[in-house]
Amino acid sequence: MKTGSGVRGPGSGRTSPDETPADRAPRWTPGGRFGARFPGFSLKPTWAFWVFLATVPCLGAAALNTGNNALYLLLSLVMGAFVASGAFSRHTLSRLRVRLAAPPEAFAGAPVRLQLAVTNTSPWVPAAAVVCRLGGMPGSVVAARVAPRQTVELGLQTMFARRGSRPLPAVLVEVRLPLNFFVKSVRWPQSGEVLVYPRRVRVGAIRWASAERREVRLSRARNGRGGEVDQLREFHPGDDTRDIHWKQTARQQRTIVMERRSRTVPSRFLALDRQLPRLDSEVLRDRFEDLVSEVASSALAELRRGEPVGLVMGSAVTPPDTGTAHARRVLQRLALVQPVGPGEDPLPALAAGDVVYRLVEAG
Amino acid sequence: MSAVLERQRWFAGLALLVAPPLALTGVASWPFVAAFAGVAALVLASRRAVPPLRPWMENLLAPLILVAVVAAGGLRYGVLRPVAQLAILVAAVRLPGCGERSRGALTATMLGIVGVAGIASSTHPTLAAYLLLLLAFVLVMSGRLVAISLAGRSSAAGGPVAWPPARQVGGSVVLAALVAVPVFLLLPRLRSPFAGIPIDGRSISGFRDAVALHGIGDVKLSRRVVLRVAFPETEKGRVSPDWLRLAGATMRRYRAGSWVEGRLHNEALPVRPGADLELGAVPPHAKLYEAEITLEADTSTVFLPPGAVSLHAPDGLVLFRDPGGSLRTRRVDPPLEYGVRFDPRRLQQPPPEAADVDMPPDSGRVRELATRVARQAPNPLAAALAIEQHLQHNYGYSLSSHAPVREDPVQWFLFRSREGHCEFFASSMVLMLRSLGIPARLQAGFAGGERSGGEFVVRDSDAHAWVVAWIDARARGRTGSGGWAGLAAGALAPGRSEGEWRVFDPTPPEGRPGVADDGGHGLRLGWQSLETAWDRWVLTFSLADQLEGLRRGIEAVGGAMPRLLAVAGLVAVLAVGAALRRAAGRRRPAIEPRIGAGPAVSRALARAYASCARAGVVLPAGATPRELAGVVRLACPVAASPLAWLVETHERCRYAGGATPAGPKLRQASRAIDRALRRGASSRRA
Repeated sequence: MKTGSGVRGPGSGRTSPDETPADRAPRWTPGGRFGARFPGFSLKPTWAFWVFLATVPCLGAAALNTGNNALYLLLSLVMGAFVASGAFSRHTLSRLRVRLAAPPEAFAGAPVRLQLAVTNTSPWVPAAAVVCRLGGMPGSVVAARVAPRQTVELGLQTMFARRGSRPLPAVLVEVRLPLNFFVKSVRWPQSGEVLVYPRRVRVGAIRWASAERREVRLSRARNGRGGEVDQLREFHPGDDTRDIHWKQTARQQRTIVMERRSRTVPSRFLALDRQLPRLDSEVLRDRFEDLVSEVASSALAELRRGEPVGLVMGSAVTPPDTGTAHARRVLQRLALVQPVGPGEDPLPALAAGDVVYRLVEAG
Repeated sequence: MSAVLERQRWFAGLALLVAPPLALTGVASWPFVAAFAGVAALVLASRRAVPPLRPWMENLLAPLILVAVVAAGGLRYGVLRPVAQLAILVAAVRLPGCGERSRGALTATMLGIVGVAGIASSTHPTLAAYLLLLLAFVLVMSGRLVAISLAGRSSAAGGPVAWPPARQVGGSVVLAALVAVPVFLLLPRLRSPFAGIPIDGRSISGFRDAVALHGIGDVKLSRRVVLRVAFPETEKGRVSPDWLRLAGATMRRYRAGSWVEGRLHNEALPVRPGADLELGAVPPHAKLYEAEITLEADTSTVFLPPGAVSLHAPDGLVLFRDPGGSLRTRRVDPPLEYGVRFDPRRLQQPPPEAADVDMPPDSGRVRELATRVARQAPNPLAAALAIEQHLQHNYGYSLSSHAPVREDPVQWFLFRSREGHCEFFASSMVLMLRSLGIPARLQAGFAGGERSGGEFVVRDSDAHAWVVAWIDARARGRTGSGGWAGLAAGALAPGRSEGEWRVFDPTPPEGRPGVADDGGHGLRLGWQSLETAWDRWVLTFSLADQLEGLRRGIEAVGGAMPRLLAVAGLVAVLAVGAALRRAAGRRRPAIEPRIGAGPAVSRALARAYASCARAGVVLPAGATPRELAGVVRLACPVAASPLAWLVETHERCRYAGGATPAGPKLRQASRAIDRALRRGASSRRA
């Protein structure tokens, strides 16, 4: 999984194509010089603002009509409170920084918890009732209070709709206090990506491409670089220095290396044909997604039972293996697989006659 | 605590907070306020969410509320009072169940109206503190309600519902107050044309030289210092309270509920520099007293003690005497200091005229009352005393009574309300005396004061109205209409009547200003100063003050123009400098144009450029480091590897915040590149 996150300046981020209703609510977004100075800033009046807007002229008319200086005083204080509220909310918003951490793993269509760090850089004014929303995605969280020069860690539950490499969503930071006249928000784009695994579905009988057992040399990249230790022998030039058995070397005063034995694993493959009869069909693409989800869920179910699973997708072959790292490798490949047109990237010959996951057009 | 319960408690708390001004200012009757506060206290104390009243019950209460408001006076006392009382009762009905979202908006609106009514009726300096407290409460309430609302809506609230930060609340209050001060001073004090009808009849006023009974204001609540009076030749304990009856206007003409004097016959008085101005004849063997008066209010009236016979005014002061004998001047900047010699036993007034017995039409009931009250009186003095005592003992003193617009205020006071302030009492006595043929005038000014050290401080709240009546010693026989023979209009010609002007004060003691001792306490003096400033700059702040401030501002700007121009020039130079510096900063690219002037890695790259030039590797003009690496890879593959490392390191250090590699490593790379390029060049030459 590719993960990573960082903080960039507010406002310069991408806009997600699938926005939530909260994102579509009418907001005033500044343009021109103000917009350039406060990128990502937007303003949405609340009902309190409309009440204020209706009250002030009435109060002004009453003061003007009666010449009552107490009413003038009240009117002045109300206007002063409006200014103070605007100044404080703007200050609070400009001093907040958010940083979104990518989750360790995320499956499409399943709830996932993102870690959000909200930092208040203001040296004096605490921030309260700060709402953080994900841009274009469901999920929000409220930071009840962020003390000056402190960071609050919050968990934010959301859900990715589709598999694949997804940019971390922008975070929309909203403040309302002190007087709740406006919902002022600023959009903080987050750098980094999340690799979203295919959707998990309930699977029936698994369709294996090949079931005969054969010798497979385990990958060196795997933990332990091979099977069990078969024997110890003296070091010969060309041997991997990582195979040196240091205890025996020290004991025998000569360099001893371990010789490992290859183990036999069943060669069970899940074969996914990337070719679609027609690439321009949305229906076929959706069904391809279902197919990928089925393959991923089958592989995950087998791997969780400790059974080795290999994956064949087009010309790319992932040898059968077990373990968490292998599961992650298989899921990564399935997360990134894309359909191709007819004749492109066919399955290798070894799986040509086997049972494969393939889309065919009816009729 | 549930969200509904908490919302309910905040609204109830707000209701209790807006209640005190209602009770203290009298804008609403006590039963209304008590019912409102009682419901609010019950809702606040309740441990569970109080359900709203049933609809049928609210429908039943609606007409009862209207009946209660009408029974409490309706529109008789203006608009503000019934509106406030109506809002109070509606708010009291809406308070149960106010925690529900659907009922919160209307409850808040009603509480807002109630709060505005209370504030609009307040004149005390503590109003400022109250407003700040109210703002702080609203800020805390808003913070809590927003937090509760968010906690209810959010999918994952980040912990318990927090209180709004105290610093934010306090800072907002302070900032709002700082903004409010200039806004208050700048808001235009224009009375709009539709302000002709007094909405609440409670405008603020102190002494007025044209008494309009319809519009008397809260004179007794204004604490502005108007005068300071000292009696230098008299011991402290021997000053009579009557000496502090300082008249400012004497009025004879009563028209449609107002006492108005024309200014057409003002007499200009010759004031010789350094000499005293004679105001009246000094009777033989009269004992004269001296008073030193400092006028601190901005007014054109010169207030004089009774029996003033001479005035020592500052040079250059222009004085006029109106037909009532009162002195006026052109408006001068306070303080204005003048000295007066006076005989307290002899009132200085022009002799009686026909206007002093003039009665308004339809005043038969007044005459009947006066005749009935004075039927036992053997002479005019006894009649005047009888009327004075009748008014003092049978009528109540009240500042909150306001005569209906369509009725004659004196008749309304005498026969309907039977309570009023000093102007009602004095006006009634004047008309009752006149109905008996006794010449009488209404005098307005100040009576009483506050002893402060060796002087008396006279405030707006000491403003008062009283009666001066001509008591003729010869008048004995009654006429058929109940008056006294010999006091008919024809007998009022100068020299035909023997009598004197005497002062009568029909106002009950609780409405009569007196002489009070000061505590001499610093805190008290400070509070008095605060009250004075509050009166001057808040309660009585007007369009005239704004225009005056504008005029002074323009004058100040005009006087300091050379200095201002110098400062403006300096600011302009600084601004241009800042703008140029900013523009230069914008033009400066993110990286140094000359590679080699930057950090070590850039210098190493510059050395690579130089090595290429020495080795004869041809580079395009302005080649970037990557272009350099590409050319060298083709021209000299041996140098490509260290150069690629150098270019990559350079980019990482300059643009990605990477650490600069150690100097020896950079030098080693530079040497490797240089060596490879030289070798390549030699091989090419060979």
